[in-house]
Amino acid sequence: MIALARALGRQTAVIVFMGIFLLFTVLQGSMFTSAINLSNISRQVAIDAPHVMGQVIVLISGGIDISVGSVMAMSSALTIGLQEYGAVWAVAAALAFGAAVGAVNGLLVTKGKIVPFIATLGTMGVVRGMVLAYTEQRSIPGTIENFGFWGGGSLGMVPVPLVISLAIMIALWWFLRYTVTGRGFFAVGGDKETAYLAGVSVARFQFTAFVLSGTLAAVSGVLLASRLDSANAQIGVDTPLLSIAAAIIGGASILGGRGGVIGGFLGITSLGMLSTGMNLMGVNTYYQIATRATVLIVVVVVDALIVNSKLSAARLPLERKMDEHLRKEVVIV
Amino acid sequence: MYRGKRHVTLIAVVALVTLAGCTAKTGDQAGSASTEAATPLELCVVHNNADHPSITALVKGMNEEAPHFDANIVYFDPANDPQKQVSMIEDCVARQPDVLVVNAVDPVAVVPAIKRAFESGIRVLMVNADIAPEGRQYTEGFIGSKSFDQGYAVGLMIAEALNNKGNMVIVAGNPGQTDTVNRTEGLKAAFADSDADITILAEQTGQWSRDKALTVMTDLLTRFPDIDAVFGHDDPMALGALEAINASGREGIKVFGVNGNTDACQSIKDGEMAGTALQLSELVGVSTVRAAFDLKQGRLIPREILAPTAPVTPENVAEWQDQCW
Repeated sequence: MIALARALGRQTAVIVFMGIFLLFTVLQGSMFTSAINLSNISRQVAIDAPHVMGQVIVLISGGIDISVGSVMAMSSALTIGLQEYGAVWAVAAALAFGAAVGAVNGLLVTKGKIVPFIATLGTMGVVRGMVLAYTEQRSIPGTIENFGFWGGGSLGMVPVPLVISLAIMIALWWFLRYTVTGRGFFAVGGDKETAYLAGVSVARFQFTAFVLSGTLAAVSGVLLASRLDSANAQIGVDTPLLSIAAAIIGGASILGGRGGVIGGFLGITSLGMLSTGMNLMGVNTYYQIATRATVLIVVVVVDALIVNSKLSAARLPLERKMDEHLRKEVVIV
Repeated sequence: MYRGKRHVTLIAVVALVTLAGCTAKTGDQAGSASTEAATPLELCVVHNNADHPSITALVKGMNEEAPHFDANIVYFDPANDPQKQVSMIEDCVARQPDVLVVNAVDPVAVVPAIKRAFESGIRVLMVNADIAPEGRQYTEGFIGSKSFDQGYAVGLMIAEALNNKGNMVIVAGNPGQTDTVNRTEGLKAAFADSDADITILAEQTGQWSRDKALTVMTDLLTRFPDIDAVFGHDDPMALGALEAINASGREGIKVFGVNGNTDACQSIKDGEMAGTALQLSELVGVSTVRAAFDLKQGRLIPREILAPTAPVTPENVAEWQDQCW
């Protein structure tokens, strides 16, 4: 019983995912679980998944990135706007742009010593301005014949962007878990001072996290450009909140030191199912926004309660020390 | 570290697969769109932005007409986000409505989604903001307003007010949208037909929003010391421009809008706004439900169903005031 509760406590993402899936399966039956609908949901989720995973990495390293929406919009615009040079160069330029903005964020945080929230708030505004200027506030239609395949196409019943996002997820999961560089993010996010004293270059990891986040946001932008087959200045306004919520449902913490890309993927899928499920039920859009926020609050509170609970008393000394550390961060939250 | 972790994930995966397998069926499941009059008319409506008076009026028109045709209408609002609109269109398609009604946020971005809807056999009606020309083949029709005539009516009003000579600015709707393009074209056509020598100094978007229009107009006032008239593509923006003018203390600038909103009509009566052109959004809503019903019955409908307009001036505002909304 205790073991089950402990085990469950670390699997918030899976529980939320299962819970939402069960709920809508019961409420909507075959309309929800039909191949078409699951395909729709997975396509929508797959396009948002890269920037969520980028957000997870930044959160793990102790930062936050709210410029993801604007970067997604600008890279989407570049992907379409530069199509005259060929799709490959357009996509490359878009990804390079994302990396560049990430680098700027990284420098602002490491060299400029600006708090990540403020730094990315600034770049968010600047990049949004660039999008509006570049598109002149009108939409740019795509001109390459089959470019819509990457965001809008399918291999059988499986949407293409899902394949791409899952591949990225697996690569990042392996990177975070099995490489020294990957684990370094956890160290830096968990306790900056200790990491520094242990010889880890905190600045380098923070910088890299932002560059990865920017590039992944650009990947989302490329997929979105392909799905809409056009560029538009109005996209990505809601995206920062969405990526943070998904990352936190997936187990990341605002205070850094934990999280996972698989959890993030489950988190965004949960939110996607929630949104589509409510659409299928005909729930008013405004209630949907409130519901999504409630899910996030419940996840954070339950997670805090489980960490704090007396169940954690019956554990190994090492685990109890870990709990002390986590309890400290929870109290602040 | 926790052995339970693997157990939970395993249980979850098994449960998921079992559930999905039990309830999922391949292919379309919901009743195919039939031509029986006995079943209710199922409509799925995707707005562009529900936070605008003309959309409120449109919804009112649809809801009032719905009972006459036994219609069930579901509304979705993406709040001007093209990505959300595409997701909502796909979710609507999954609901298998009789007719899908879309008010395009971005005429180009909706094309792939509407194409997919068409390919799954759903009839699509565009309302208020049409799809881009390359996407029209996937839709049954467009129901909106004669926005060209609205611009023309305002053009005639401005030409008369300025005695065929002067400078003006335009505070426009979202670039590329049906109404934005048509209203400006109508305005210019009216000037051409009246042989008016009126210069359009600038056309900037107020994004159909009163506060954005206020900011835009303030900047236009700073840029151009000599403005005789302002054309706001809708009344909220015209009123926003009017606020900016009043705040600046500049006199003698005539402000025109489109819609015939209650506050605009009152403003015309009070001698503040100089005129507006009626937009019959409620009628557009009513027509949409009727056209959708006809589609369900298998009847052909016109490619475009456009609601007429009329100019509202200080002289005739008393007659039109109960039409204002």
